[in-house]
Amino acid sequence: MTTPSRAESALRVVIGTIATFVIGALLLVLTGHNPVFAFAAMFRGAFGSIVAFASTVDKAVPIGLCAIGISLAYRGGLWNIGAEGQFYFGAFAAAGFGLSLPENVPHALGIAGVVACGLAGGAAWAAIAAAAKVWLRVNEVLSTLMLNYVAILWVDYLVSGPWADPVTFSFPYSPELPDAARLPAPIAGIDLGAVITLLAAAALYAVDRGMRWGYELRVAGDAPRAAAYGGIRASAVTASALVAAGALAGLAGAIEVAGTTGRLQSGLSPGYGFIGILVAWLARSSPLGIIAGSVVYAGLLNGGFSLQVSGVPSAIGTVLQAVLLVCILTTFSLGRYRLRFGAAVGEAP
Amino acid sequence: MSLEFLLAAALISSTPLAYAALGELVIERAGIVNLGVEGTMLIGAVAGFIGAQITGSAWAGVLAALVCGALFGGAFAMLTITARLDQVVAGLAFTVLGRGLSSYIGAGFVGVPPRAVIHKLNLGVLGHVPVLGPVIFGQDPLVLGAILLPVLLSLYLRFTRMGLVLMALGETPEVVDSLGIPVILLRYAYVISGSALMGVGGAYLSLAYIPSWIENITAGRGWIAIALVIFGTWRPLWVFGGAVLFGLVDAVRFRVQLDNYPVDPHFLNMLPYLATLLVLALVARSRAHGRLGGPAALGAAYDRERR
Amino acid sequence: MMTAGEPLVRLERLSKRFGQSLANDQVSISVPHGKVVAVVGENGAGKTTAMNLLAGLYMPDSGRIYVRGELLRPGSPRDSVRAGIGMVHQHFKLVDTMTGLDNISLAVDRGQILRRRRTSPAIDALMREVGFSFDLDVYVWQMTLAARQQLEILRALLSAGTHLLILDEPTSVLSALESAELFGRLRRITATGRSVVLISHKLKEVLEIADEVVVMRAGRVVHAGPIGSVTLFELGRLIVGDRLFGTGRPPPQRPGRPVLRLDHVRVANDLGLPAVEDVSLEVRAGELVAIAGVSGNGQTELMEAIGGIRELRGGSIAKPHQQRHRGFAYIPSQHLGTALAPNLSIAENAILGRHRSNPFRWWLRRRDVDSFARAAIERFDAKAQARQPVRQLSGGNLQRVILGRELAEDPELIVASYPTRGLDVASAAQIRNVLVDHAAAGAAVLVASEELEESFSIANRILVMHRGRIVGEYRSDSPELANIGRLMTTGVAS
Repeated sequence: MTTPSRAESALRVVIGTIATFVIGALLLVLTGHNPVFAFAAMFRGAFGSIVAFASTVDKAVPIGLCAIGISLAYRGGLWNIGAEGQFYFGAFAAAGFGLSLPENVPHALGIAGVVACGLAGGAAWAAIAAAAKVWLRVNEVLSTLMLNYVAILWVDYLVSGPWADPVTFSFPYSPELPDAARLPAPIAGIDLGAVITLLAAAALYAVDRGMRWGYELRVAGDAPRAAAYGGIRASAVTASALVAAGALAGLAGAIEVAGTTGRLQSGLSPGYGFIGILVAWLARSSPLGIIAGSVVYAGLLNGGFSLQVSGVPSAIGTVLQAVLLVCILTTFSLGRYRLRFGAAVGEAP
Repeated sequence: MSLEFLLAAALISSTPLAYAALGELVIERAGIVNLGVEGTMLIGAVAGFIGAQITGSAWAGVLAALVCGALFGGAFAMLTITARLDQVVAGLAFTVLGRGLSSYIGAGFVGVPPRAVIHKLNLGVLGHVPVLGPVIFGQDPLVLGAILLPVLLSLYLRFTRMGLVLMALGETPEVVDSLGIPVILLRYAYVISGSALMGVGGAYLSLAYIPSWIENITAGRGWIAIALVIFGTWRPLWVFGGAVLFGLVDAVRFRVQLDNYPVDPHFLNMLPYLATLLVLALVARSRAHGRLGGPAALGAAYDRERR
Repeated sequence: MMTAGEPLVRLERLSKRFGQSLANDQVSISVPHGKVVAVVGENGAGKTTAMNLLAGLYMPDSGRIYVRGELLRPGSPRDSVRAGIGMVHQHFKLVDTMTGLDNISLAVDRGQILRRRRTSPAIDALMREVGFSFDLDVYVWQMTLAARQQLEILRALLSAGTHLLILDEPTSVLSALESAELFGRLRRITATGRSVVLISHKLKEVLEIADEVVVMRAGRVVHAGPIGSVTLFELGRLIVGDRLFGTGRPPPQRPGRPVLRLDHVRVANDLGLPAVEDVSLEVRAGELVAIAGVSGNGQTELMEAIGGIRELRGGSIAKPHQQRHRGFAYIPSQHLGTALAPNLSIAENAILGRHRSNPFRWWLRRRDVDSFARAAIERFDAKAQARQPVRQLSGGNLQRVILGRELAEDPELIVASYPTRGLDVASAAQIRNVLVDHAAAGAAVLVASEELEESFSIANRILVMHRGRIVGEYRSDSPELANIGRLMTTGVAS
């Protein structure tokens, strides 16, 4: 694989984005909608007002946290397809903590507990796959994938049974978390979840820039034998990265229940963990790219919702999410072809 | 509830799983992982329903599902085989794409009563054979197809030269290539036909099982199909057996819900995933000795001049 | 149409480039009917590339191929197979999880429905005619290497009536006896009018079996003619060019203290089968010891065990040790992926194994990393930039970077597995000198080598390894070449 220059990468992203718009417009026209109108409405719905933007940021936070974790695990050569399940398990742990809080607990303690439980819950869920990988050599793509649905069904069970809210009896909701366990509303426009996400991105940057753990992770991910040669315990390092990825996804789940919804509920995530995978790949491991990508993908999600009023099915947002990824990845991949067959740049023998 | 009824219900529940899982099996045997089963099934389900609405014929709907599943698979093949995108990412993207596209296209059909559905067969005398009559011969043709398909696939893999080539394709594509057999072409063919099967599996939901179009009609069956391929250790009859087993769980679950059984249905729903995790662990442990593992070249794009 | 005197196959001015290196430069070779043509040359001379072009596995950049006077479509394995060209690769192209018969059915159209019960008359006839002796119903992964090779040859002969059989280094996996059997079969194959191309770098066997010889060096054909036209000595000179044998000189020996000691070491290979059985040896400070042997006799596994990346099955190894990492230099035979992480930069690779000692703490300061990188690059003049991914380097520069890193602290023990394999002449000479210099300066050096000349030119002592055991020990000033050769191939001295 050749690494394209920064300008070349930017050009490819632009081409991929244009292609996405063209494909999206085509779909809209074919189904009898006005693409200009629809795209404009989507943009307004995602970024057109303070309220819209705030709602987009609310969705960008879980996407971003999941993507940062996925990207981190991938540095160690591990796929975390299980961010969705870790998100749910983190949300479960956080909600469990919040719901069992006695009265008159200080707010700071409540928030700290919720965050810690989210981290621990996600980490624990990922640790199952990590342990199976280290001791049984179970492929983590499949194990994390399978664990997703177990976690989702577990939460479904709780909110429709033992933790069901007696007030909203017919809905699969838990009771609301007490105030002490709720994240504060944005203060002066600063959203706590957004701050945490930016901190996580900064941490990812530090991992790349010079942390020894990050270095060992990259070596272990690239060449496990070289890691053994260099005295690195490859399986331990990569497993710790997978657990850390789970912790981040679990944190996203905690922020969701403690900040956005205020309760544990069925269908808590519209696929944040999966969208996170798309964003992590789109960003090609860059922390800044992940932040930008999660805002864009959250915008597509939000913009899609706001379209419903105008009669265009909201699923167009989901379609564009997938098409955008495929288009951009394809431009990069086709660029590789040009280099292979055009110039005399082959693989070294 | 009689045993016959339970078995018949199990077969019906297992039919969409069987088509999708066998489709995935064919693709994985060819060395490609397609995690977009859920998306492909949804495309098939919506195409099948709309096809039947337009033509008034359920079988035209099935054909539409087959063709649209194949087209969706063809796009996946182009991205993973020709453009060599990462198969895991492409598969997840296609899951999202299939979900979005089916919801978008099907938005006008939600809650619309179906113009045509697939009917159960009336095979006359055969229908009165004890046990087999109601369990098998009284089913609709797609259920019978789901029973026949694994047998045919198994024979194909075991007793034909093309089946041998298919197995080699997933084990060692470079060997197949060096023998002058077209690796790329065959991988396309298998991805497309496997995806067509997934499309049919989806259409069964919207034309026979439910039958109507609702958003996200597959409700995770695509992921169970992927699990089943592992659960059945990449062997058609075992995969089908797994599908029937989970179909049975599904059938029992209805009974549990009716009778207020002490086990919560959510836990029964977890079973396919938990069972697959167990199989994953067992297969991983035995891989060094036994022959239970997946195709060796699974997930790797083929590039002849890579050295 | 076949014209009189037209050879079976004619390669005309074929060129093929891989990245920076020109693997084939205007290569022209012709193969007559019913003859054995040997293509000889050093590792990396372009022999295999030329034959892969003929087999359609690579697309030539320029040039043409004619089979029986007809132009062959390049880059198509299918067309090559149809034209009657069969190739047995060094790494066998067999499906391990299938039986021998299934592997044949895969390649040869024996009807679309598989008949596993019986072989066809064509197979039986060929088995008898060529004298194959192996069981077709056994899974490939259970077969010996010799049996797999026979299966490959049988399959190549069966498919589409192969007229030209290409064998890439066929004897590298065979014992002396098995090699003799192979040559007998090749004679029978040419007796049927088919031709054979034999890629080899073993001159003696070439003289024994070939009718014609083609010598390649650095991607070019430097000689082609009947076997009688050259002597063994001339052939050797053609292969290596103007290079002289034995330019090196072993380090002056002063008895030092033992630095490395192996006691009854046993090691398993990747398949869990015994690769090293009961090896005991000692390397003292100031001496250079070479392990000689046909590759695949356990040398790699032994070196990996000493290097600490392969577990011991038994015995013990006493070596300089430090907390959390090796306390000595280890240069494995395969660099990329073992000693180097291919996609990481040279700077990052330069600190591998050093990143847990001074000056590094939990944070790796870029300044420190860069100074390590500079040192590793400059020590042996590697042509490389610190920020470059390591996979972009050529073999010689890779080896220089590893040596630069591993020898940075003048270690008291150096363990090197095939350190000159695949390198150009100048790089190989430089690396031999580096090893000798370190031994002369007091380090204990253990080298595995597949070139006997190399071992004799740099080592004080030579240990011969065969089937996982040390079967002989020689001092380099008492060359008993014939004896060593027999030991290496049979494990028994006369």
